[in-house]
Amino acid sequence: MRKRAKGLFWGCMAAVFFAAGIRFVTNLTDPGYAYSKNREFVENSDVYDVLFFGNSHMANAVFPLELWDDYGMASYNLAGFGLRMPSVYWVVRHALSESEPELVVLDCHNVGAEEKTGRKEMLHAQMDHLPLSFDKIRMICDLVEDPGDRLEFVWNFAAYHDRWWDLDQADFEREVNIQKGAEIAVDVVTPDEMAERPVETVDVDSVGMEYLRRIVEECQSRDTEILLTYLPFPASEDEWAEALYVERIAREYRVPYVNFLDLQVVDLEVDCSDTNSHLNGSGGRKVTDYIGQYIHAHYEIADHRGDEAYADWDEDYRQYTEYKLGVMEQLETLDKYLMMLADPAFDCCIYVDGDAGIWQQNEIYMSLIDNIAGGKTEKLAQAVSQGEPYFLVVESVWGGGK
Amino acid sequence: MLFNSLHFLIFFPIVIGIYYLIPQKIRMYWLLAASYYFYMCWNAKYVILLLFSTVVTYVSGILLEKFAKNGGGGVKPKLCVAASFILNLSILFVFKYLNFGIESLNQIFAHLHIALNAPAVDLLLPVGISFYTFQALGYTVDVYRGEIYAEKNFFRYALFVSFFPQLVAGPIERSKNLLRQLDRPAKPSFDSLRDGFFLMLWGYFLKVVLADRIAVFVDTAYGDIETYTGVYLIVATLLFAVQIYCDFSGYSVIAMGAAKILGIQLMENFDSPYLAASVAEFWRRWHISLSSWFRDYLYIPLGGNRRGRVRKYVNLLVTFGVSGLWHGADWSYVIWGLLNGFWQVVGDVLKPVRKKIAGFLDIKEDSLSHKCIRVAATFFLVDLAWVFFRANTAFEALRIIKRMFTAKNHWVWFDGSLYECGLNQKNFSLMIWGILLLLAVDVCKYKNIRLRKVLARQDYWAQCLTVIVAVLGILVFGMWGVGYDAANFIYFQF
Repeated sequence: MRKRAKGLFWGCMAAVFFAAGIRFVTNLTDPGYAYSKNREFVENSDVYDVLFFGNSHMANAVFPLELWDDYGMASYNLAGFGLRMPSVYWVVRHALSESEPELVVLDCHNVGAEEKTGRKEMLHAQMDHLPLSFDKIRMICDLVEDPGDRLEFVWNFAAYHDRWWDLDQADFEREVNIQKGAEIAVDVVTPDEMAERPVETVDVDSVGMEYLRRIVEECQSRDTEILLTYLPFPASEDEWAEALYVERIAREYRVPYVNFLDLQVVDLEVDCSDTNSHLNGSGGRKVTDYIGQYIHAHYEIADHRGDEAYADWDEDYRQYTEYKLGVMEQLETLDKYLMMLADPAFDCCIYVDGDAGIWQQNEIYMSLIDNIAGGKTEKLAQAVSQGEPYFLVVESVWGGGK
Repeated sequence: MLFNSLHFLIFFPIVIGIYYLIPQKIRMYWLLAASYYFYMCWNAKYVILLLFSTVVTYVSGILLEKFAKNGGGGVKPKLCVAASFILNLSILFVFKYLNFGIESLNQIFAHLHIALNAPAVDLLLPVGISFYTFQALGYTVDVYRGEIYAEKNFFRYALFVSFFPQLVAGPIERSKNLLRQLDRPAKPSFDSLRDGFFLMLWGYFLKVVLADRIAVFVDTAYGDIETYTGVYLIVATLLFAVQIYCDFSGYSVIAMGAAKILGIQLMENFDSPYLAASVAEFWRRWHISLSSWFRDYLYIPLGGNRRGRVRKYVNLLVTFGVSGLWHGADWSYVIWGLLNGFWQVVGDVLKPVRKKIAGFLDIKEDSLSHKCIRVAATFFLVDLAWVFFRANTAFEALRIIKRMFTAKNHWVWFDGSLYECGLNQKNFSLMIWGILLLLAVDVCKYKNIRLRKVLARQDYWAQCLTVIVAVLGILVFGMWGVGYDAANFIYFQF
């Protein structure tokens, strides 16, 4: 009897230590992107009034801490890179089971796609931080068709265990996204041409559309408002078609829809970070500004500034501003720097030596300065054309250059 | 179903759990069902071949015993054995060697400027067919020789042929050992469960940490011998010897461990083979179940060493040639087998000369240094033969050997280029440490130090800690999961 009890004791001890060991190596080898991006939401999911969903378009375009500063809006950007609408559906579902936002804002880019997921690693980035649950298993079974590939999503150690040779300081001191889930892109790239707006709306019947309907129905079943968007970028004909078709779905479900392709909110010449899709910090700031105004005008979202329960948010905003300054310090090219300066948070002085030649040779620089000064650069342009120096002072961009 | 697949890791605990929960009387039937399921996971249709082989050898056993009871002798028993061999080997021939035969005929006729162009047959090689066929045929011979009684219980016999731990890659068990145990499996004990678990852990280490890691380097080098030449090929060839050992012995050890947990003791299949001091000794330590099968059922019936030296050498070459063919339907395997036979013949012929030289130079044959030299020489010869085993064709093997010794890129040993052949520096270092651990364990085994027993004598906390560290180590450092296609064990193809 005593021997059995001892055996049982050691068996239990072994099981406990083994479980602890497994947990340790699983956490250690996990690159932690998913957890870092959404850690704040995971740890404190019930404080958000507005949640943003979508793929990288949304992640790069809406900055919750700007909305906080402008409107006292408590929001989080849960958009994930490379996500297709079915994956977004599960992200929305999980988020709504963890929180009770007033409003869900969903970007519908790529809703015409037939596949349920994009690249595997993108799906990992959205899924790894979710604790194992019945709902997560359902999500995995729905999104990952090959049963052989499911293990790595149930237990991500199966995907990451061979990172042991790649571990470095960052794996032990994990950085956390301090932008409330958003990610500022810093490149400035002249984009592709945008396709012409089609005259007629064509039917786009896709797996993505089916899941878009499910998302809308999910929100409506929970009495959560939903706002559909189609964020700006140089869209192709197919993307125009899906943007227009979303309008039909919005009408069908009686939900509001903002199609940015029809609006002149951004200047694609200076606001894109790559040739065919994503917005950079300047473009994102403009979209954030527009969406903030739209939400402020159409929904009763509480202004939490000064609210004791949201005292941390002011500190978060300060860190976020410091982060942006830190990013600017790291930049090595003038175009990126000028793009990042297009931010109401900053005042700036720009000395332009009209004789230097670079201003005439690189039209993009003048466009970027124009972007900072809100279009008030006639005198500057005149000085440059005459080869004269000019000193531009901008107090809070878009507020007007002097 | 591979031992290193998630499928098996779910299947096996279920099998054990139910096996120990149900009454002993029906355990055999449960194991039989599990074994057939195990086989059918690979290809359900081909289970018919397994069943056919089982029925043929079962009936032959019953008939042979009946003939023996009727006085024995005569031509009937021999006809019965012949029928069993012909039927079983015919299936083996059709599925494994038919295309090889057709291709060889085409080539021979092409050399004679006759376009035969016989078409190849589209047949999938049934996994493990060589193993279970040989095991079943061994049973027929054992009954014929009167070494065992024929098994009357068809289900027990079917389990003997299909026992899942050793079904697809051995060890090729002897009826004397396995049938008796299936009749009366040992009662489960903590010690046997623990021992089986330790064995399985070691097997997984060999397979997923070592063999599959080494395979990355070897496959990279052998896959592009134009780029990876000279030193790369030398290292790859040295490593392949370790890879195939870890791969095959890993499988065997997992099989032994799994069987032990079920109360069945399978035979040892490897006994520190690379510590052998001669090629003959190597073959007494490598794939022991197959080597002893060929010894008992081919070499000795051919006359063994009882009919003079020349006949002995011919028998050796025939046995090893057939062994090569057993491993694969290609001339490169035949050459590999013949080379191993040839090394032994030459070793035997030169034995007096070696003794004279040793005597002349005052070399003590029992000294450690002399032993080390012999072990190294044996490894060199065996490894050289492995080139034919690993290369895609015999001609490619010759090209590889030529490139190993003619390409001049000795700087590769020193400038870090070795880390650009599939394994980075950390993975390469881990592999080297793993190989050193394997060597240490093999030396202990060679010196009759049984590490499992040493571990079993330690306090429980030490045993638990060792197991936890071992499992975590295998999980972290093993080659599995994403981007890893549960690589087949090399010997499955045979």
